[in-house]
Amino acid sequence: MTENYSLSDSIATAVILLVGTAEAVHLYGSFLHRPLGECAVVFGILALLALGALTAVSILLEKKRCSREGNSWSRTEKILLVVFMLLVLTQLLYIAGGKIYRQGDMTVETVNSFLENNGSYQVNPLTGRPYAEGLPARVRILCLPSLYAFISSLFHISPRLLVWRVIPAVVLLCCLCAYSCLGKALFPERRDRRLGFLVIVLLLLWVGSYRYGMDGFGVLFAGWRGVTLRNAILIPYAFSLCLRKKYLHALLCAAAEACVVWTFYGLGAVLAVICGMALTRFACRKPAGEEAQS
Amino acid sequence: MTELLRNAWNGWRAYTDPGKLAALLLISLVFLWIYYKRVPRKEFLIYTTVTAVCCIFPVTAAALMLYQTRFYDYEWIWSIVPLTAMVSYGVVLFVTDILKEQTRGDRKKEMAVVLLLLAALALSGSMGAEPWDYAGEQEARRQSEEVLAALKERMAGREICLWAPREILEYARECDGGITLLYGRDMWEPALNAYAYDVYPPELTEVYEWMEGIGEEPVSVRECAETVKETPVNCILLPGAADEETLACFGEVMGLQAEELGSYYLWIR
Repeated sequence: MTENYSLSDSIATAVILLVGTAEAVHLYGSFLHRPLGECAVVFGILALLALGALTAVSILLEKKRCSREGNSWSRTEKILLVVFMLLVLTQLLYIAGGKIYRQGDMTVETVNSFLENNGSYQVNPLTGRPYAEGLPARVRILCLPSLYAFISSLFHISPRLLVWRVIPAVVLLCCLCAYSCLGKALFPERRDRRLGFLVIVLLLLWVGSYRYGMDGFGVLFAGWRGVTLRNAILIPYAFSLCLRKKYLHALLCAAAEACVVWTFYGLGAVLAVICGMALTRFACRKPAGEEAQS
Repeated sequence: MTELLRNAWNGWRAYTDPGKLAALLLISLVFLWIYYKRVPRKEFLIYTTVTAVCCIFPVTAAALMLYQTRFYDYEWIWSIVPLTAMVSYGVVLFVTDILKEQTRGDRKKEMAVVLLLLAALALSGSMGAEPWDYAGEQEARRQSEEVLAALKERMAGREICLWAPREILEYARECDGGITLLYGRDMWEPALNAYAYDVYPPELTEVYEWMEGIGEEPVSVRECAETVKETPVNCILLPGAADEETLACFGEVMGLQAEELGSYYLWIR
């Protein structure tokens, strides 16, 4: 059952685990009115435990996988790998340049408020003054600002540096892991095709930076936003899991989306993707006799 | 419903105007349907085709917009379509399968087609050129930070509750979480209003309109100054272009003398 999990799966799953941990600690801090400093330490410990367990499992699976697959690389694969690395490097440098699209977003202000007041949503992030009427419950439970505040507090990184430069770079790498998983699901037997797939994905991220709402725009200009995490990591990963019939694991992506994106009071895009893929697979299934023949 | 349908159709037009990724998706889908038998993951192709059609056709697009709730704009219904993945899938299958067969091992021809294909892809979008005035925004942020740094120095550790022109308030809270504002970015970015139930009282909206020189019936300088005097604001910044009458009126109402701070006038209460 676990044999077609890879390192990329582990990294994409680590994102989900971190989001889940941040959500739990955020709720603990919000509803029990615990100080942010304490929540950051709790988050740090829980995240270390979760990632440690995931790493141990991943190492075991990776050992099995390497012994089966072998490590010889063809010339085409080597060239594709170099092109891939170059594209990743250029995009990382571009993100490090700090071109950010901030319209409609107040993440840095929110993280600043959390750190300043040592607690979540004590004041309106846009004015720094107490809320007059409060905020919607669905917004209050979103954990991304808390996650960034925890990291900022633990590593003493300024919120602007963390949110606008570090997180987008990490999101780009995790996005590539999610697409790598999708590549494995689409081309399970051919490494050259998988590398080619990733190269074209990277190229399309460059190309698709022309408009707000496109994948490339999100990754290159707004990598810290919840919608980017969803569209660049959770959805491609959910597709890869659905193609591998790992629907339970895919549901974790839907849960992670609910923690990072304000779907208003809707059900979210990842769940729609999972249901859509499950229905398509059901509609495409071959009759039992035909399946046996093929 | 008519409005929702119109939004769905206009959304599709706006989605396809600046770049050609949606067109690349359709080309990719057509190609994969032509070579349907050779597509290993048919369910992925079928799913993408159905969802793409649903996003383009106004009635289904409107239904999807309802599903994602009206908080989000049209472009976000495309989240359920694996656009990037499907275009990449089509390109990879074309290059590694169909092209190899068509060129019968002629490497030069193969390379030429691949390069042309990559060039066509690159020409379909902006290749990282930011589609908004980023340089202008950076300059505005830099100037605002300079003024805020000077203000903090002048306040020497005291708490700051600031009323200033929009170009200063825009960056104040991201620059320093300790600065409080009379009103925030949600005053001029309505999308941000969704994150809180708070609404600004009409007199604050009037104060904002006075400061920015907008609104149909702006309040007088005196009314504006008196409204601000009633708030917890302890730092007032007015643009250097403010006329003598305005400065005199603010000085009189606040009972303070204006100081110069860069290209602004500053009152500290």
